[in-house]
Amino acid sequence: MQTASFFSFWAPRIRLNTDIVPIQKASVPTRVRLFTEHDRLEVETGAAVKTGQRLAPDLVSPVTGDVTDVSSFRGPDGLTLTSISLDVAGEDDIQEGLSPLPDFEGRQRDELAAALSDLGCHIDVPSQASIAVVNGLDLDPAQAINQQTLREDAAMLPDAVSLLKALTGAARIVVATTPQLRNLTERHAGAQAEIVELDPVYPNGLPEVILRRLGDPNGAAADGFVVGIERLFAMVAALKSGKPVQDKLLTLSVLSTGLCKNLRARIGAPIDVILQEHDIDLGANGKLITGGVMRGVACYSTDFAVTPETDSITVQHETDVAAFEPNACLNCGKCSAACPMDLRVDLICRYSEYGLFERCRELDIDACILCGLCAYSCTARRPLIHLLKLAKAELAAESAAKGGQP
Amino acid sequence: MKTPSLVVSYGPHWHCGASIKSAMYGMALALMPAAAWGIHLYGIDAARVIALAVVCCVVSEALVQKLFKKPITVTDGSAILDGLLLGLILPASAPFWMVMVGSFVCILVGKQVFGGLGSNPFNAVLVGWAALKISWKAQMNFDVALVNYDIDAAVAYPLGVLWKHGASALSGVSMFDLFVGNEAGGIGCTSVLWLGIGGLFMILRGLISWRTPVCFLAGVALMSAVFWMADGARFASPLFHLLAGNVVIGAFFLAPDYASSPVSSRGKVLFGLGGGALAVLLRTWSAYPDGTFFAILLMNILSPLLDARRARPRRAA
Repeated sequence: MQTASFFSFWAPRIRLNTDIVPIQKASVPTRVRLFTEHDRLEVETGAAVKTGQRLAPDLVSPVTGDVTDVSSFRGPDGLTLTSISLDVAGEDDIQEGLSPLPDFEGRQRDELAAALSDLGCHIDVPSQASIAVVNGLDLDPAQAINQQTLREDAAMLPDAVSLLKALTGAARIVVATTPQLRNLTERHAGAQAEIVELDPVYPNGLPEVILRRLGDPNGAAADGFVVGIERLFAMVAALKSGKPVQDKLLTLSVLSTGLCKNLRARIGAPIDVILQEHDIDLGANGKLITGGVMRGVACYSTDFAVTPETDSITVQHETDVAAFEPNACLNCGKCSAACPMDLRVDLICRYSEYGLFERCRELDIDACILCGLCAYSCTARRPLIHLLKLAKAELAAESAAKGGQP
Repeated sequence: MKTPSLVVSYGPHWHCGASIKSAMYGMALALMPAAAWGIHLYGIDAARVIALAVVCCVVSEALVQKLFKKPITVTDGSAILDGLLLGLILPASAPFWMVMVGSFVCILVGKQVFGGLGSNPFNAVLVGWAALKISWKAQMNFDVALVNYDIDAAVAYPLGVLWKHGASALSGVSMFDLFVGNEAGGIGCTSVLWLGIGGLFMILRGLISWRTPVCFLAGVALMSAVFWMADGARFASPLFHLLAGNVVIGAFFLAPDYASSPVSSRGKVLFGLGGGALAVLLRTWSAYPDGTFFAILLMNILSPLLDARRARPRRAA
């Protein structure tokens, strides 16, 4: 099991993976599976699809091929999605009408957003961000794509910064980086952006934590926008070439063997195909985790596929699975010491356990970012994230019933 | 491909590895050097008291949990830790019935009536100790109880001397003796050296936060410095107060008790400073030579209040 070291002090310290993990190209699968939250599609079963053709309001095909199946699918986090399966043709046939943008300076936000949407990048940019951050840190200890992208493609930083400027209109552009990559970052972006060096320790790479650190010291977190460098570089490459985004970088790792690879995988590549290609055996009663070991979700099936949000695929074998237990709280306070938002997690979770959700709100449960450090540190191994999610869901349902914000 | 059976859950998928057992047994392990020193000083009598206290606490916990129709959790180590701590703060001469009464009160009144581990508003061990201290003054008075043991120091119970005669009578007391533990007192209370090693182990191991013990010691030092600077002939030096009596076992093992001490960092700091200062006040003005344990019990009352004194968190965007 991935545990803290024997001498580990009071507050947890989980290092991010700062190793050099070269990005390898995964082979293009013969079939892909795409997901959309919309149920009104622009194609149906049997249709021939070109690369870059729009399939749904939030979905552009990353491959050329034929639609073999359209069905409803329950995603790993319980949301109902529409799944579109395609057989991939040998050669890419790119949709006409897409043209490269040589530079971004002075362009309108709406023009860029529309061009990005046509290229398969759907991004919600707030219109009034005061800070825009290029995140060179990874969000999770099981991910190494942002740091590796920065390491390999730092020359794209100037373009990325000017794209972010044009997209957000933010007065302050920040590049967050690790001590290891600080010099490299400074060399390429030092002139255009403010460089902020962060300790490569979880949860420093989480957008909420970065914004809080950049916010004014009196309290309110910065009103800002954070985008992972891997995602931003993919947008820059797509805009400059006029080719739709076809691939997603992700970290594939097996916790028990220490295997860790960065892959350039085709969007829609089925996870079982990726596992097979790398000879990974799931074994029985293990976990298949997407989204990282701290905030990620363990999938119920290998039937899932790579999406534009899949930053990592992590295999945890049965022996490594951390068990949470229905113990009473010991009151040791390690959860509160671990909380990056300074919440009284011990009280919030006990209130949640006994259904006193209003009290959870009084203790600012809304500020909780579900980073998982409380449950990671809990001496009694209580399922704290489950209790926090329960209270959040109950409060949201209550607000929705009252006609307030969902 | 055959679909494998998968475990489904939210994150986090890692755990630091701590558990109730590892915490309780870890703290018990940290007490071993001090226990060994006590047995070295008082021989088989000390071993008898410690063993009896541990057994009585475990049996009491099992009995009370059975009586309360609750799951029996004696294997989690918390009753063993309670027994060990109680044994170490009693004199080696404690009669068997006193140890038994103390253990039972500790488990029943200190812990289980409030709902068991993690729910006690007062330090359970000190509740048991306080019952004995108030009920059997002679047996709990180190001057009287330990008169038959040969302690290799100029002054057997320096805190008693200070309490009766003032600091000027302490000239023969060697600070080194106090540091090593050559003084009368509870079995495992006196050796600053061995308790300090245990405390350091707990801090490094992440079993307790450094804030409570460090602030407790700072509270003792600051408050005694105030008295000492006012009248050095009447009041003892801060160093003496830190090394003598129950201050170190209180700072490292009793004040940081999970359930009865504050959770927030600020609360821990205030709790430590307040407890340390109160300990010196009680040593100076109370009916007992050493008020450290009463100071901790009194601070336990305040801990919810100390926790409430925290700033509102910064909100996420």
